[in-house]
Amino acid sequence: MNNKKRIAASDDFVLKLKVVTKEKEDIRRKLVAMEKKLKSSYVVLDALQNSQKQLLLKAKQLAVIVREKEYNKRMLEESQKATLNVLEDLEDARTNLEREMQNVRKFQLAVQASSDAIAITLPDMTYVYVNPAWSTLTGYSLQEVQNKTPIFLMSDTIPKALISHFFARNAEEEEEEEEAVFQSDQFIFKRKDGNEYDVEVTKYAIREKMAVTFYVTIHRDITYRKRMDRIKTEFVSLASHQLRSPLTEIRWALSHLKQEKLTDEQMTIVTNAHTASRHMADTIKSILIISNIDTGQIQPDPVDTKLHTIIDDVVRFYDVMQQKKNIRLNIDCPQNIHMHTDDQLLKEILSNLLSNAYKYTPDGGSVHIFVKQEKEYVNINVADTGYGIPYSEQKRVSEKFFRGSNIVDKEEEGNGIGLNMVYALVKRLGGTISFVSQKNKGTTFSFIIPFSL
Amino acid sequence: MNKRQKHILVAEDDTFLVDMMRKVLSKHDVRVSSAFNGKEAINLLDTDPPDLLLLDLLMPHVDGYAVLQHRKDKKSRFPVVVCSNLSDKVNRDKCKEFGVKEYLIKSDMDDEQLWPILEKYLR
Repeated sequence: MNNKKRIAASDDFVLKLKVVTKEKEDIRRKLVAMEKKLKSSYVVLDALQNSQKQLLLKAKQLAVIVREKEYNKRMLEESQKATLNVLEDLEDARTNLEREMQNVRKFQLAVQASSDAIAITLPDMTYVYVNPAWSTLTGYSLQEVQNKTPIFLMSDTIPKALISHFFARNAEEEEEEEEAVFQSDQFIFKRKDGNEYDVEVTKYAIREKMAVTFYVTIHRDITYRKRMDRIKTEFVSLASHQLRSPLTEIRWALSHLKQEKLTDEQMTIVTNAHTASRHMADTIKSILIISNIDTGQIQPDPVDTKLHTIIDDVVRFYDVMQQKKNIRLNIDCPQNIHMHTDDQLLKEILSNLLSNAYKYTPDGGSVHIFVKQEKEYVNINVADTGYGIPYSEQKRVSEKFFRGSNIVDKEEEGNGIGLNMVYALVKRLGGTISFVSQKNKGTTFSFIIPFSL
Repeated sequence: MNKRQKHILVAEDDTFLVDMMRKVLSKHDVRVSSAFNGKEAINLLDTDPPDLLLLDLLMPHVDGYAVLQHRKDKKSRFPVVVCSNLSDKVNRDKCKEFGVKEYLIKSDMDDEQLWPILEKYLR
């Protein structure tokens, strides 16, 4: 029994073991299968995680792109607006430009149509433009003169120094002369065909920020004007001669009569008439001198002379006037001043200044002539205690026909040509003249001229 | 007087002025002859040569320059003082070329100023 039982029990156990082993195997198999499944699901999970990551990245990238796109869109809109503005501005600018062009065209046409000859040169004086009137006047076209300076236009009779002074002055030099707006001078030019003509040339410097960028020169044919000037001078000469001939007879007759035995009354009459005839002779002389200065015909004729004798001669000539007006006269002039100058012209200058001083000084006043020596120059002054020249009119003193407004009523005599002549004559003697004047206190004219001309 | 009297020839077409000159010069020890135009003056230069010629420029028929030319052609040495109412440079220069000593403007002087100037050239 027990054995049987044991065997039976063992058989049962084996059976049971078999079952358990089988079950175990099943479970193991199932576990393996499960492990396999688990493994593969990890792979899937990994893949899923990866793809999720990528998706997130993509999403981020997309967001960036979207932001960029939006930004670009905004920029595009703004630049479109800006472009529209620019277009508007451009349109305005175009209108302005057209208007400017029209103006420029107008100026261009005006310059082209001008009857005055106009040329434009660079600072080195080479031509860049000439208008048709210029070509007609000179005979040269723009092509013929381009890159040339005006020297070739000059007549051979003009001194070279004079030409270079006017035309070849360099621009740098002129920049230093601040207010040199224009220069004007007269020349003789030669046409292309060789004929010569009188011309007045005016040169304007066109500046930008002080630097000369170009010159405009205007040539005016003054041949006709010159001819008229000559005719005028001839007429004045002829008229003066016709006036002088009878005047000489009157003057000499009165001068002769003064030496006869006359009653006091007769003597006064004859003396007055003689003085008047002398004044008339002086006026004719002044008119002739002015007329000749205008046409450049007065040339100084220097001689050896002494200054004090010239002053004495002039003073003596106006003795009567000085005594009549009871004017005190002081002369301070060294006896030893020898000069080599045009004594006649110097006498004219002094005569005019002295007679003016007497004329425009009230009775009982004083006149002082004083002379100073300065190296190569002599300084001659004529000072009076007269009516003076009003300050506002002092700039006009050297003008022809100028008379101070404060003396017109006081002195009927006077034609306003004396001082104009004095200024021109001082210049002819190589000197300069100036004055100081105070109303009702007096005037001092002061001029310097070289001892030797 | 031993010394020969100086002879002044006045060539001037204005008879009144010639009279005045004569009056002024007669106060001094000189002999004055006169010609009323250039032709007369030239004749006198040949027949009665002066010590000084006082010459007007503008005269009828033959003018002062013809007289100056004649003097030059004859190589005469007597001094000439021109007394004219022409004051332009052309005439002054022309006279200078002819060796004229002095150029006077008639209307700018008095008759009595004549002698001191002429006297200078008679010495």
